Amino acid sequence: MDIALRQVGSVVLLSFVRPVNLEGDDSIQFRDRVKNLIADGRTRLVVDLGQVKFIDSFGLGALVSALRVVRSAGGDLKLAHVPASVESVLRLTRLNSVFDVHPSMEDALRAFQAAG
Amino acid sequence: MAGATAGPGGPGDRIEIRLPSRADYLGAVRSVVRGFVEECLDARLPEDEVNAIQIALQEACINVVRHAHRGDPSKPLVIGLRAVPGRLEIEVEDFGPGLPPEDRRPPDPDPENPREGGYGLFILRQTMDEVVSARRDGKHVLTLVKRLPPRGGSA
Repeated sequence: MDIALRQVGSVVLLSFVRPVNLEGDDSIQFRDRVKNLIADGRTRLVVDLGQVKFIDSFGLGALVSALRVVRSAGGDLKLAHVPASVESVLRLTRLNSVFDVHPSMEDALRAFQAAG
Repeated sequence: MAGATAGPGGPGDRIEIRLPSRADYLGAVRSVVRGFVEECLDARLPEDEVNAIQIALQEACINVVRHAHRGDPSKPLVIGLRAVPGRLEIEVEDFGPGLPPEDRRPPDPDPENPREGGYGLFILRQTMDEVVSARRDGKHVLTLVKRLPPRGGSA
């Protein structure tokens, strides 16, 4: 799973380089990647889900796990560019109200900047 | 010539997919089921319904791979598909103990206290019209039913 990182100010933007399925063990890789960033002191994250073709309960669990770690470190993890198929699973599991979801990376970045 | 109630596949024909219990194959299984839903039903389902069927199937299968067969790929995972008028039936067969009883199942998701797991069964119940866990011929069979719109219509 290739994840591209881009730092803008204090915010790290994560995006998947290729289309991915956030399922099973692949989602553990993602979660560990995020945890490494947090251990590195980077706790303002935006994850671009535009390349996610499919997500299952393991993928959801990885997102929630990453969110809990980042929030307990005083930061936040925002989602951007969420495909309709992923959005419907977030809604189904009531996680759409747990995550701060934005249409684009730029919107999510602005939300961080507005929060100071 | 088509029968009075037959879709492109005869009514009740069962298509079976048999595979080793490995998560790596589940993407292919989802594609087959999508193909079946798109090609073999009388009615065309909206995309969100097709996605719902795919996620339900994924949760049923990953539950078998992870829990029922505990990562033992030598145990076969068998998925049966059947469309009869008004219903799509998906059977997932395994050699495990079946779903936990109602009182040992995870609680519904709570946005105030989001959990890292326990979404699978909830997703199954939310996406499918019927979820039935039963034993048959020494196996556990999870039957997932999606009610279909009337012939030629779209939901």
